[in-house]
Amino acid sequence: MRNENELQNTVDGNGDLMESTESRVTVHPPVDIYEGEDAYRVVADMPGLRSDQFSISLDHEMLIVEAQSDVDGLPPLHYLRKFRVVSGLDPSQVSADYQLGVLTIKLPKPATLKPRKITVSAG
Amino acid sequence: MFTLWTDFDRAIFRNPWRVTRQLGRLADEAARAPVGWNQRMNLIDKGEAFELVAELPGIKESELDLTVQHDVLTLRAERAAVQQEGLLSHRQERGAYRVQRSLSLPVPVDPEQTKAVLKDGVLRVTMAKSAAHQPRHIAVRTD
Repeated sequence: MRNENELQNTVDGNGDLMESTESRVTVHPPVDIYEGEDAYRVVADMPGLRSDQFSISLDHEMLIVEAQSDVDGLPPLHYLRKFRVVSGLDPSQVSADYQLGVLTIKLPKPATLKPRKITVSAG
Repeated sequence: MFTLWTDFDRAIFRNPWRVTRQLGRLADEAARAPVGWNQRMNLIDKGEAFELVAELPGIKESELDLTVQHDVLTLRAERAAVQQEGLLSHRQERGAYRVQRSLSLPVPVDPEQTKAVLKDGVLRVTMAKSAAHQPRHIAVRTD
């Protein structure tokens, strides 16, 4: 539980993965979140999208992943997921990769959160 | 039980996806196995051919098995659990899943004229109807 506050999903509390507005159906895609030594990784199942349909933003400690799905033969969908993230992440360092319908966002950790080796000096 | 069904009713009008999610959860509890309920799938009649569109995120070609025989299309796909070695996991919602569906088509199809394309996690299977079931234009003659 030590990292509970570092990456917290803001839409998860009610256990409801769907919401619907009059104009469009919004879906919260299933997500995995991993932490490595240098970066966080957010992995989401979002099939059938083109890169220009994604909108990923990092603003005020909030990561917002959004996409408009318009797969020929399926009803249109609006994907949306929001996460509160640690402060100090650099938006210009965030990168995203899309393969097999799976989106992977890499968020490099700020220096303050990286593990550091402490050298012991003998006096 | 009553409230459960009324919930389903409401959900059906708003969004069929919600229902399959809930069913998936119930089935999950019953079977204790990953169930691919949240994969959207549509079968479309395009006149000369049927088209199956299925969302299969994270599935590679090698994890997919498709057979077509007479008027039945069988689709099997399985995604193994992803191992992220050396990484701390904060959230795991995706997991492994398995899809196994046999679809009865309204008329037989020609296996030789069946094509399947998997792109960005979306499978698209085009199956031409057999010659005897192709739509035919009737020329109208005036006397």
